[in-house]
Amino acid sequence: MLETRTLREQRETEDLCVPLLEQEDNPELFVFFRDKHVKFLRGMLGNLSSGFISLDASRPWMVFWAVNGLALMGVDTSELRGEIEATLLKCQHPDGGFGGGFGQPAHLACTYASIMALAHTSPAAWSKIDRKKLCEWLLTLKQPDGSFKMCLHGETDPRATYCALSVASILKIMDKKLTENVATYIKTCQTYEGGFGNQPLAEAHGGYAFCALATLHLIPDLNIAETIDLPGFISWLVARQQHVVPGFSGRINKLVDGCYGHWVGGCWALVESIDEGITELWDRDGLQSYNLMCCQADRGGLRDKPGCGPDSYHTNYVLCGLAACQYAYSNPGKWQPTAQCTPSVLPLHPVYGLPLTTANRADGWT
Amino acid sequence: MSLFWEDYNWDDVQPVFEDNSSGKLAAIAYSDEYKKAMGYLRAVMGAGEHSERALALTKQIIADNAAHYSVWDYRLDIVKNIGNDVFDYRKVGLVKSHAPTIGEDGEWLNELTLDTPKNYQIWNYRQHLEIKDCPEYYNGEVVAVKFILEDDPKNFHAWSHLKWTVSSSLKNCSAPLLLEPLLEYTNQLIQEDVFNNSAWSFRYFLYQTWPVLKSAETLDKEILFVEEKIAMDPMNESPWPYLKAVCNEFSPNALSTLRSVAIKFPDNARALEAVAETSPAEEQAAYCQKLCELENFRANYWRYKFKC
Ligand SMILES: [Zn+2]
Repeated sequence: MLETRTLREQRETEDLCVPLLEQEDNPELFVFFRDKHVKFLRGMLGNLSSGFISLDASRPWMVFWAVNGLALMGVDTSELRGEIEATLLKCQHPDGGFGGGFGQPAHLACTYASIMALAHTSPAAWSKIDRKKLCEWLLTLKQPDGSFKMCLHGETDPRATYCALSVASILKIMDKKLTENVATYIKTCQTYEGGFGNQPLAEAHGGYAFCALATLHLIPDLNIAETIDLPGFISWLVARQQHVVPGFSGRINKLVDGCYGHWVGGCWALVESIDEGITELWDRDGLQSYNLMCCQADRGGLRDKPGCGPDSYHTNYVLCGLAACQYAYSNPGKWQPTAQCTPSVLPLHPVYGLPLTTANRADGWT
Repeated sequence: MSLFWEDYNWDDVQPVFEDNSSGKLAAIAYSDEYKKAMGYLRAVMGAGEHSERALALTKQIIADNAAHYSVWDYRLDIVKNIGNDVFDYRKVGLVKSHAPTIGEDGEWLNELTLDTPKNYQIWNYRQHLEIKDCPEYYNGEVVAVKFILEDDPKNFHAWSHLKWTVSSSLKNCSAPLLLEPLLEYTNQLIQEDVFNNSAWSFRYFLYQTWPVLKSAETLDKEILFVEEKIAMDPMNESPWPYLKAVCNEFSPNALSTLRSVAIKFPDNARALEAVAETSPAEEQAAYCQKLCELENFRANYWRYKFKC
């Protein structure tokens, strides 16, 4: 009998999840515990203990995940606007972009998080983003092969292109210099498995896959089906969802994790919009079951899998995953949602990762 | 930690503290020491100071928070400017007699790498300390990666760093890393856990870097290797895309090579998929039917893929 670490860990995860999934028929348990999650995220916006020190360079993320998650659950966040604005503008660097906290150098991931959090505020706050400096800074990170560096000495990968192009797009500072060679670069990150990695010849990974595909959607007039190996990509996506525990894994032979409901599950809307023939190739109900039965922590907040504690990151991305399985989209670019069931959350903008209403509102700001 | 402040003179520095009267969302209750250290860091970092005390300060902060990209970036600037004056060049690291780094405290860096294996600033940082044309550097990085993979055999960043190390040694070193021991390493890891997809991915990377599979004899051996691994569990997802890629890339008869392996595993969905893919269109409907029976939860996909 074959026994390896992968098999053992897979079995342990199934043993934790299957008893929970079997209770799906119980209407008292197959419930989205909205109020608990709202309370959890509100707590994560308050004062955090010194145990959170490792997130000192991720302050914009802490704000973004919590505010975005609250908004996805339909919470009116308008009374938070002033504090969101004040917290994030402290992270804006005088030379453009946003850092992980006050007085820190700019970083693309923090810039994405800051600007997407500011999309939840007001046109007045939006106008305080220094777009000219931001655009100049983005160009300093751009590499001749089409990729972007995360920061001055940072690594290049599809996360960086996604962060750069999504903020440029929502702020309407997109230009040819930013998008030049990006599609060619993204294509080189597609692996023999069909997914995308952080660099050429890497192992395919859900996070980079989402960033790669969303990046392609941000390039004007690009024929995505002709840019990448789409059948290969779909084959990899399909295989990320298993039958016994129907959440998503991020890599081949890795364990299911709630956040991949967004990184991998979120790819489906992006793929379905490429070709009308691609519809319902995955198990929406399965992802919903995993998210509701396995990812809700008793005390509120959402998590990777049973046995893990909840955190802001997993809360936001499990909520995004719920949006991925609860809505289908038509009319790419405008992203018209149709609910597939009684939804727990608002529809998501499949590219920006914001609630659709928030994205559309910010789109109207100049 | 408080002793640290006495090692250097800070009298000339005006620390920069965050104004916490507003913008308090997700504010972290830092210790007084950390708050003080960050205050001084902002001041010296803002002034672009490259000094021994600034170097020591970054080390203090990294001890509390190794995920701080800002501090790593700043430390790199300092090390590149004055590191060689502070540290012994090619200082021997924790990892047995290897891993020298230009201008950095190799022992400290290695210890930290082993303590915080999920941290990805550290790998990127190590790449910036590359000593071109120094075989010990590249060998040292391989040793560091292997240390991490022993505990966590699918660590994405460690594998990524290993690929970078191999490519860089080939590009920048006259005595680069060699294929054989690296290939042997993947043999060992795949033997330990045939589901370790990272090891499969690395193996493919090696064959892309050293195209030895262009020789028919080596290719046959490799196909046999994969076939043996598939036989351990034909439902294992890892070897199938690997096999397809190797066939496509190196076999003059890609489809028939793939098919010749796949038909040896009847009634198995992964194998059947490969058989169907290598069949003429008019025969695919029957295979599609069978796949829908074996994996009903993917029926929509099989019908889409094989247009039936
Ligand atoms: Zn996760």
